Amino acid sequence: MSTQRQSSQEILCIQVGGCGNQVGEVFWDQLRQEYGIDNTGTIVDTSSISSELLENIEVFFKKTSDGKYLPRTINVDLDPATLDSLRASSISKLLLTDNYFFSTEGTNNNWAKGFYTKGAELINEIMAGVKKELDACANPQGVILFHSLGGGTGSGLGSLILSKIKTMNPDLCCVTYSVFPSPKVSDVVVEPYNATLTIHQLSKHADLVFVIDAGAIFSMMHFVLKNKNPKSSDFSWTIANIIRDSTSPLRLGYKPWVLRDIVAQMVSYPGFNFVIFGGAPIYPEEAIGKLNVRINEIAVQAISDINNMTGTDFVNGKILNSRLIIRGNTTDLEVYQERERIKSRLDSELAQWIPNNFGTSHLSTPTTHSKISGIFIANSTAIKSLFQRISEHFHEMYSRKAFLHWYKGEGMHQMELEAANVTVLNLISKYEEVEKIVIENQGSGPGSGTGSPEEEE
Amino acid sequence: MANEIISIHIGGAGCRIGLSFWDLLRRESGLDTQGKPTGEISTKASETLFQETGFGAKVPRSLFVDLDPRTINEVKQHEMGALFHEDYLVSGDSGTGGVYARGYEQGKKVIDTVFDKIRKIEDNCDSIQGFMIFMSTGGGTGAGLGALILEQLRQKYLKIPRLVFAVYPSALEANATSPYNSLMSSHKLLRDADMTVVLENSTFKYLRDSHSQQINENNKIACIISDVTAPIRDQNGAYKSIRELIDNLVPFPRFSFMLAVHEAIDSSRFGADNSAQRLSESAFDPRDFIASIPDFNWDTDKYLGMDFIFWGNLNTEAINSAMTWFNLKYAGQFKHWFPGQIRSSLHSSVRPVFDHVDREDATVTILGNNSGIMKFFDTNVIQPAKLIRTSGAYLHQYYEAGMVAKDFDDAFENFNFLLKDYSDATTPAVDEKEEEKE
Repeated sequence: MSTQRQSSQEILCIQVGGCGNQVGEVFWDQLRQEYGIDNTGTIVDTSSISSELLENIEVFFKKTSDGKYLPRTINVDLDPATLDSLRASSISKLLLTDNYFFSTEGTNNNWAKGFYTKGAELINEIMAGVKKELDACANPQGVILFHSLGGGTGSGLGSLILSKIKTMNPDLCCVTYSVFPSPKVSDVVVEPYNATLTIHQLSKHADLVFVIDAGAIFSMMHFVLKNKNPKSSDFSWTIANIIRDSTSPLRLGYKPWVLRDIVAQMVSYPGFNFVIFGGAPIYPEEAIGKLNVRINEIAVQAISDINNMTGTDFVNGKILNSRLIIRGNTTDLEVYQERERIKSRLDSELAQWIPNNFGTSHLSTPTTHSKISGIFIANSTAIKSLFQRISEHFHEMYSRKAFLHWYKGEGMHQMELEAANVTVLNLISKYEEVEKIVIENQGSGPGSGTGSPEEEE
Repeated sequence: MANEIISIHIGGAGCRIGLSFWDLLRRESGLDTQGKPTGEISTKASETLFQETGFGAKVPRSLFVDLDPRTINEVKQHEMGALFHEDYLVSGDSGTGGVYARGYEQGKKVIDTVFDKIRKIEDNCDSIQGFMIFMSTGGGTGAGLGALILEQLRQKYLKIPRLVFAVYPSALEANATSPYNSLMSSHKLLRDADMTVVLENSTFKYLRDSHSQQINENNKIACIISDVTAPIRDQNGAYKSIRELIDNLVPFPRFSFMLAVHEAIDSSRFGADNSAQRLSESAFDPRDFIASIPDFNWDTDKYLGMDFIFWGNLNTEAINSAMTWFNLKYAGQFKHWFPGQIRSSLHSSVRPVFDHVDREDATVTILGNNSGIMKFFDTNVIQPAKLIRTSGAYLHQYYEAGMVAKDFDDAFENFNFLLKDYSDATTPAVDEKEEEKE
């Protein structure tokens, strides 16, 4: 291929905590298959891989001096058990042991341990690793963090890493794929605390958060995949699959081809950096190769509530900005027709005061799984219900001061929980305020900034 | 002695149109992808736009700038990549995410390099007759960095005219921040450009028309730009320099937005006379406008100056009679107030085959200063920008990058005044006395 490679803007992935590493592991395994990279890092047959993919391979993969491609990733967990499972995984040979950062014991689902005590012991080491990887990039565009909000490591240490990266280099785009806890699937009682504290940090330090609601994935397992007994590996496979598809434009060099583009277009108001994403088709691993859906089904499925990672029904809010990314064998004309159809379908959901807030991209290279697939990314105020749920659960516990001693024991002040809760409440009320925007008369004088809740002083 | 033109391509769209433009131009001039003459030269590779290297190759006098490194890489890897010396390809380190203010701010990092390069190109010129700037207004770099470069061009090369080809995004390409970008960019163009040709990227139109492969819209735009430069390159036509072009079309500095019209016809079917007539009529056919003007009205949307550039299998007599006919037929549309002239130029060779654009053998490009252009701005720029601004969406990104609310106010106000200026100028009741106010 070409020799000019300076233009690749690399992304560094960071997998934190049990959930982050589990999803990350499957993500890399699927990604490697898409590029035809075997489990030693060699591309077996370049001719069968599309040139578009190969041109931008260095966005996610690092080329070694002996021509191998290794994931640009860092694995962090305080719990050493994750280390063992990584070593046993199919991508273990691809991961650099230099980039493993583990402690001797877990956090027992305590955010404060991840952020303040145990995590803080490890953070300098981790940051040295992050810096080393970023320095190895020619022109890094940002980092992607995989983590969950319910436990202690992904939430606490994940937040800490994010804040350190932002201090180190504010220009880097920090994007996270965050798994939000749900009582439907969890066994951890302090999840609302951990989640609230992390949301507080994410809204400060993350540029964009792709929200994954564990409960929604659970429903997806039931209603879409008809899997009555989902194992945790099924969860990670489905999540990782959609995450992988959602990175397609970044890897294929299509609009929006860098993280910054997605961030700039999706964050319509300050603080609204939590976005919904969903994909179609959703399928179990066994169905690969048997998928033959048509573009019109893809488009409708992608915008439906059961196919998105938060289970959000867009009817319950206003879509501020959105993009449907169709990948695979179809024509621009068909994508254009779908665009018009979906646009009229979403007519009452799309905020009328933001022009062009529904866009489409067509990426002609199909994925390895399906001849045609779609991803829908949207910033909608409907996501507030998720925050409301977390906030309610937080209140139930906090009003009784339950389990506070865990956090205080690690030197955390109670005020911090309250401040975090205020952040969540503010966010909810901001969403409500934006929903209420009504544009009465278009021609109400030039630039009269009335009715704008976010306009800065 | 040539009076050279320096072309500056800014942002993703500007650079891509640049590639199409130079690809077309090198074909028209009979050069291969390396810039070497292929033997069968149809027009002399004009020194106005090309520069001869020590190896006998002709290379464009052009500069490509984008903050997103990918675009510049695309230029390098293009089949004509060898035509563009690496020295004249400037890139930043990251894109702007489609935010004008960021393009303007981040542009400050590369602006010195840009002007160093311009000076370097200038060193190889006898005397520059003008700058041609290719940019889009909807994106971050084209709009933001474009505004910055134009601002400094005006300060540093005050006397040298700046002709801008500004591509406005189509509904398909536009994103949520495009209205802000287009607004701010147009606001700056009004001050810093001597003339702006408004080109609307209307890819969707072709998606509907041709069910097979879509025509590369950039190639069509390239044809229009090539047409505009043809009389200058030929030194044969109604104008021989950018200055002369602008002088006719821009009666007042602020009336600088041009409507472009393009139409092709098969001259063998209609004969030269009839073809020229039919082509000239497209000046009043909104379907041929490259910027969509809603409810185009013959009576109120008046031309203040026009340039017809015919191309292809036509002859001077046919053009002349068509122009006389046109003048008679549409006299009513110009009667009251018409400062510019209707001029025509003919470039009589047939355009080389270029990616299915205009398979017909006779074309016309019309540049017209039409007051109807304000309708275009109103529906495509002002109204959407007002709407989104009222809700306050995306403003924080502009403020973070150093803009203030007043900047938007100024832009809206500027356009309000422009609208008033145009309506003053085209209202029949107004006569000579009003002009003095300008």
